[in-house]
Amino acid sequence: MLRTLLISLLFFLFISDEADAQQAYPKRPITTTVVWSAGGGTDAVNRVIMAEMSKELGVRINVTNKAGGVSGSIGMSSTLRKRPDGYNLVGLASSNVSAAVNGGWREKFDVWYPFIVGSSPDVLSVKADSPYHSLAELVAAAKKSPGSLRASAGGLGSNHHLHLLELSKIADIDLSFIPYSGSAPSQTAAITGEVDLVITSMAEQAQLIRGNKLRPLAMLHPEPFEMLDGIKVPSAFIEFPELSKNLPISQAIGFAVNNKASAVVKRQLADAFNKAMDSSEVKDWARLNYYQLDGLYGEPAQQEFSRLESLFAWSLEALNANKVSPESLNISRPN
Amino acid sequence: MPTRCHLNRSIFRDQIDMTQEIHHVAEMDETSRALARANFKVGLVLLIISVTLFVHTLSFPMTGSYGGVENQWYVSPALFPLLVLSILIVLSGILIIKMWKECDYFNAPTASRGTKNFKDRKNQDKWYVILLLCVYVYVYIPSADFYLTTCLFLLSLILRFYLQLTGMWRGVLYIHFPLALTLLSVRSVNSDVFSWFLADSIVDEPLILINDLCCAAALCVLLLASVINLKDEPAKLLKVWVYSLLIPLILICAFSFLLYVPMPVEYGTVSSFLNYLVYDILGG
Amino acid sequence: MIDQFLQFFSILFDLVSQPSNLLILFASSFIGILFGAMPGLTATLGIALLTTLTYSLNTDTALISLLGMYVGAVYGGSYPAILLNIPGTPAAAATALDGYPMAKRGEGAKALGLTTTASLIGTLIGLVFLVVLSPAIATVALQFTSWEFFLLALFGIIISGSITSQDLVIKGWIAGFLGLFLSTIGRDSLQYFPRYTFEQSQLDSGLEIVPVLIGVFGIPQVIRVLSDRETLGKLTKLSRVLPELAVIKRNIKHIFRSACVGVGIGSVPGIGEDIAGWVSYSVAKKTSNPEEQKKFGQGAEAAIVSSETANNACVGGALIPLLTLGIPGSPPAAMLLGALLLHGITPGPTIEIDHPNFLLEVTAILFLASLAMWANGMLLAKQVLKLLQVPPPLFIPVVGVLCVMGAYSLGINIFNLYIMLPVGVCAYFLSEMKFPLAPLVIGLVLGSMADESLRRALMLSDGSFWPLFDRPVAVILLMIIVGFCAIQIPLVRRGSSAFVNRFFRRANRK
Repeated sequence: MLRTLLISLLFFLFISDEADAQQAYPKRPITTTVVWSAGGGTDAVNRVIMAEMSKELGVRINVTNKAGGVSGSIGMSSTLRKRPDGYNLVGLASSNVSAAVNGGWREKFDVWYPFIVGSSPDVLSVKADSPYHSLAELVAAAKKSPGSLRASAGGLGSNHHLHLLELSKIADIDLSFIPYSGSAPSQTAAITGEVDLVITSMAEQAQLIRGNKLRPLAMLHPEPFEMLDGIKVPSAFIEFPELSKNLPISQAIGFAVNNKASAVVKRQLADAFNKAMDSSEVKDWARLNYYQLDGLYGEPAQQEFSRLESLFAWSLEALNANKVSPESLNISRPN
Repeated sequence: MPTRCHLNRSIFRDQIDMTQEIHHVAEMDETSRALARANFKVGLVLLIISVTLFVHTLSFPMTGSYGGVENQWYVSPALFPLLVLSILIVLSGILIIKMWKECDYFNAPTASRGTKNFKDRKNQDKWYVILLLCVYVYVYIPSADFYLTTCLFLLSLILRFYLQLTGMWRGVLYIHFPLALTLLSVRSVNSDVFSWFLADSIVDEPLILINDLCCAAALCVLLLASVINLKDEPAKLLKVWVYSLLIPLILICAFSFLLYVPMPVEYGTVSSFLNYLVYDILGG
Repeated sequence: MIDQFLQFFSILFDLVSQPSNLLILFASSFIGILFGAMPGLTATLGIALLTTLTYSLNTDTALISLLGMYVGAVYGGSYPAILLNIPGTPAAAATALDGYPMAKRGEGAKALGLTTTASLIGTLIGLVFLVVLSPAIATVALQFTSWEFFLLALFGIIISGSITSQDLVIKGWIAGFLGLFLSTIGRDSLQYFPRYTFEQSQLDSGLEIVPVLIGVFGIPQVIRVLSDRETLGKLTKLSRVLPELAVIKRNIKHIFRSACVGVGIGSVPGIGEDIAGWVSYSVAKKTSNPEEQKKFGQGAEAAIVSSETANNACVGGALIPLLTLGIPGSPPAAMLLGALLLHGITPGPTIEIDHPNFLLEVTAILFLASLAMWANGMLLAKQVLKLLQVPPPLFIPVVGVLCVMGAYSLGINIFNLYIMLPVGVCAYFLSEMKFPLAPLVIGLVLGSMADESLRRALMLSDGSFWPLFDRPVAVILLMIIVGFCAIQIPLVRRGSSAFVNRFFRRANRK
């Protein structure tokens, strides 16, 4: 029994390899490895877009999570090592670009062929009964006693943290940054009054703002924001136009395929991606959850990621929080 | 009323404590002395490790800005490890002193003969399982197909502990030595930096094929051993085969097709074949 | 109130009236139990998998399957804990301490029946808390700042040291501090400084709890059973699974206390089932009289009832901050949040405005899920017990493979195995030397929380410890910890009993 099994096994192995090359893509289920843990923004966005894309591609897409390492390096390096046949996608976001400078792996981000689904703009909020009613009041208070205001913005080196740094630089204020392990604990800290202000994305804060637990002061985004039930949040760019130099640092949630994948695979994925982005399911979901759809893929998306890469890398370098210097990785300075 | 209850209880507890202590002192027999000796060694090893790590930890940044967070003694990443390690040092010190008194390290009599014989067999078995697990996890899983290696692992355990092979057939189990060496050398060929420690499974397909063939050959030898040993008991043979060949197959199918967990060596022979079978033939 | 009840029943009736819902409920609860029973597959993973599968279903049906899975998986971990001494999920680790001795005595059926019923009652009590007290509990949960988190972690660590000391208390402490040390491996969460990673990027994110758990409990058991030619639990003729009413009645105080502990721990954001079982176990031990206390660890009914009630009550507790604030109370609840987001439901303060009666709906589904879990559990327990008839030398190697696959499939990472094995071998030798290993796991679970919260709290207070005595919840926690430590010291214990002797006894005699 076993011997026949083994012989047939070897036999089929060769056939299956042959067959693989000839068959049209996609034939088998696709696996998307999300490099952030289940339940977060990147995970949710990927599950939605993959569900729609699987309708277009006609195969099942399995979404698994493989968080770990630094900035998702474990998931990214394991996916990159697999066959570039388009059956392995990786779900990622802008924070992943710092994996290299953090010493997680030694690749630049152009090893990927990315698809950007969208992002949720960042908003600066304070506790509902806080004395500050506008960004101007907050900045004035911060100027009066430097370092006394405590701010939370996710973990060290997250895009929320970069927003906070940029704001303190442009507004010339000194805020003491208190790191938390993610957006949710940062927001909780703001509600409990442990910190004075919090910067996280609109998608994560919307319910707390509407439930009157947090008071939004300003968007860290060029446009003002109007929530579904009419709450309007002004843009911080009106008061501090210099913010537009480096901001907004988009979350750029999306997925990517190995850049070595064949043109056919890339085209197929792009077609399915375009159709999925146009579908009403994705659009409705994005609207309800305060995501702004993007839809970039291929070359333009690669350029966007390389801009983010240099921004993250050099900001971390300035903080002295990196392990590998961006120069040694050939990452150019942000202009 | 509740107070009295509580009071009775606590008196009672005290009495138990005391009687236990007396009992403990009186009953200082061989085994507890051996245990104390072993504990003494553990304490010593722990102390050395803790002190080494303590010294290593002192090199962590204590003050000065790091990662954009202004650093004081209380923000230092070394704070908590230093706290934990110093308590560990104290605790292992106490353990050593306690055990030193108890075990009388240098003039302790050796264990008696009867138990030693039993212990020898137990020791052998123990090390057999541990070494097999090590080879399975560190050598086989990252370099060859998961199904083949798992069958190999299961069969080697079942042959030894269920069939309790005797005589020359027992030697068959040592097939793991040459196999592990072969896989390690295959791994070293063709890779620029050879490492005993593979952080990820291999993806080089020709290498996987060679490894798989080696594993299949070893598996055949073990199966042969089981057939020859169980010539007269076909029912038992079937049982052994079900547990070592069929169950892993079912498990692997469940994991890769129901839970979508790709196997460690994703392009292993059996995994590729199963994928082909399920998605290309059955899936049409 | 009555209005709410009527609404609750009408929702319940609506859900039950669809046969497809019932089918999905029982199926997902069954799969959940299997998930829980496999070492390494946890509730979080199960919910993640179902999230994708239920994407196209409507929200009610999806929720039925997700909550069925959640409740089932939390309960299912007790099967291998009782039968094999290998907890299937971290939540069931405390159950193994007394469940396995019971199974070895031949009372496996009784133990399974008891844990099943305790889990049911636990879930139901958790559910009552969810409906009745959720706004109040959410307010208290918001009192938890870094100081309180630190104290909570400290409390967990302190009780862990005294849970299971077979001979010397100091060994429990050593194991606990080893666990704490292991938790410091990886990038530290405040400054991102790599601690003890030895240039391995795989270690940057620290040690995963599940591989360590499997290493600590699974691997030693595999080695031990094979090398000792040890037998597992026996199967007695009298294998009645359904517990007698008298047994439940006898343990009713444990059930209620543990349910409260479970709900409380579940409602604190960030910690969940893993800790609930332990805390409840040790509280049960500490509040028992010495007679009963001696039975703990030898297969006490009270022990398994306490840990299983608490971890299932935790489900209801974890949903409280999730539904009222949008803050998940435990890791599986975090996954549940993701699943709800996919269906366009954002839990939070406005949930009752956006989706009226959503809380009641969740409660109704949770109610059904717990019933399904009980029914499935009662049916499964008998079949599962039959596994003990397989000779261990055939069965245990397969368990070993399951441990390996479980540790690997969490994160699909071979490195998990490289962690699991050395931990397992060390754990084997330590357990041979009568070191209790449970504190090690608790230390690992709580260590990073203690570390992070303490340093963040000091950072916020500029190095001052004063806020500890300033915040009401912190003061209460501090008092509990001090009280708990005080009982541990024999002198204080003797002193207090002498004190009691002196004054109260005489008073009573008069």
